[in-house]
Amino acid sequence: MDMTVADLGEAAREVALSGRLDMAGVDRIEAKFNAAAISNGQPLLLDLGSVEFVSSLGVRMLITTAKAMRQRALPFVTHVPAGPVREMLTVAGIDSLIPMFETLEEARATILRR
Amino acid sequence: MYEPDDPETRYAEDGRTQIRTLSRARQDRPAAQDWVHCLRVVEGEAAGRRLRVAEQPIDIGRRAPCTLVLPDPEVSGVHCSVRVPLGQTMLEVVDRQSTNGCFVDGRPVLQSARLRVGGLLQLGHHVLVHEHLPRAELEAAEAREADLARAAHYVKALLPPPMVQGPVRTDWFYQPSAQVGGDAFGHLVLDANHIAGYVIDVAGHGAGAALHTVAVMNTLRQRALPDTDFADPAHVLSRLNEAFAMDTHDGLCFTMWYGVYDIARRRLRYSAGGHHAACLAVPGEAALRQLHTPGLVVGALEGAPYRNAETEVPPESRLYLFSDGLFELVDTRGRQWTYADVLPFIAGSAPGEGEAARLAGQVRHAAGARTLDDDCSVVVVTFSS
Repeated sequence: MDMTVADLGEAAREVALSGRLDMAGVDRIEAKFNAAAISNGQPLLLDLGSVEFVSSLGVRMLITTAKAMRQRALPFVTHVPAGPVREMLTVAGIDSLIPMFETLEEARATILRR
Repeated sequence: MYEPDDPETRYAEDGRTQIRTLSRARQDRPAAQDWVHCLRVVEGEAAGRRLRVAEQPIDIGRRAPCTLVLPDPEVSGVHCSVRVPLGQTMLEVVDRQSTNGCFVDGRPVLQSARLRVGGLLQLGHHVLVHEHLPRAELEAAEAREADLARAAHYVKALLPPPMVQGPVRTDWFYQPSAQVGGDAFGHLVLDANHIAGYVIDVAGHGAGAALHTVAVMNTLRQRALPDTDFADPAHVLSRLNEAFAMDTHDGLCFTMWYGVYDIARRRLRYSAGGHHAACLAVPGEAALRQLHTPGLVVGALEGAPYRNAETEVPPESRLYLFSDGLFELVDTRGRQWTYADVLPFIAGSAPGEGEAARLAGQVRHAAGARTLDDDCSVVVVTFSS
């Protein structure tokens, strides 16, 4: 599981994950992700376009991120293209908690508007 | 002249400079006799088991009285023996004329071979690694593993026995992953006309997930949710969501499918919290009915809504409840399996005793999966005529 971080100007932060968000992936990434995505105090766009698999621990990580961003009253959206990962997150009910966009352009446009 | 009586103090050659040793680097490495050779199973159904190896040869095979018995059809009754030759650090592996041979670091063993520390021994679908550990570290690891085994045994003891007669019959298969995990299932006889059934899957593995599973199961078994209509699946999920909020339960949450069968009306009412669809196989229908409702993982968010759905249940229909451990496998080509991949196996599953275990075995065999990354639970419910 790898992570890249970019700023959308001063308006928002974009964090892209790639690989498998399984137990090992979450262990490897969670602390760095929290520091980059939550602690910096900006709206967040999480790009899951290159994530191949999300386990229950990966779902839990998304839930805790969503709750942390809500506590800070900061917008949080995700890019999740159509496919098995999107289906899995929909079954888990994540779409009721975090806006999921099928294209990165839609996700960026939304986070920059908020 | 000052003659120091402190053994840590001495004078340099000039006779005037005093040198005092305040501390020394300690030798923390245990003595050689305090290290133990082991073989630990890292792949295969017996993954997680550990075997101490010493100078006396020990047998590994599919049958007792082998010291390490591996449940593997490709392992011979007595497949190989292993020992530590006197004064050496590598293990000696001797093939005992096994049918399929054994391999050390990928190379076939021709009668015997040496296995280095960290090297891999493969027999059948099982892979073992040679470990050389300080005795204290090994004993601590064994104590942890024994605790996890006791926790897994306790969870299994809470699972209900199969129901073999009556309007509803059940058959189930349960296999935790190498570590104890968070799968469980059960049923409640609500009254003479209603039976509830459920499957839950706590995120993660280990003692924490197992403790959470036990807490949820015991709450349901004892109906320890006040002001709860256990015949209303959405209400049950909603009350569990309140009672087990992840903010007050160490960040733990779980998925759940809960259904209530009305025997007289032959109707099944159900609700899901973050869990995939259960499948209903109806005689005469080519396609499986997928029974799902949208709902968030239980415990994730206060006030999350859950909803009910219903379906009629024709005689001899079979309901398949299962955890994602049944289908979240990576096959031998490296492809990640999904829920859709197991539907053909369910649709083609032959009814009868042991169906749940056969179904789980067929899926894993087709995927070529050697280890369970996640717990696997399968419950088959048959609705009698």
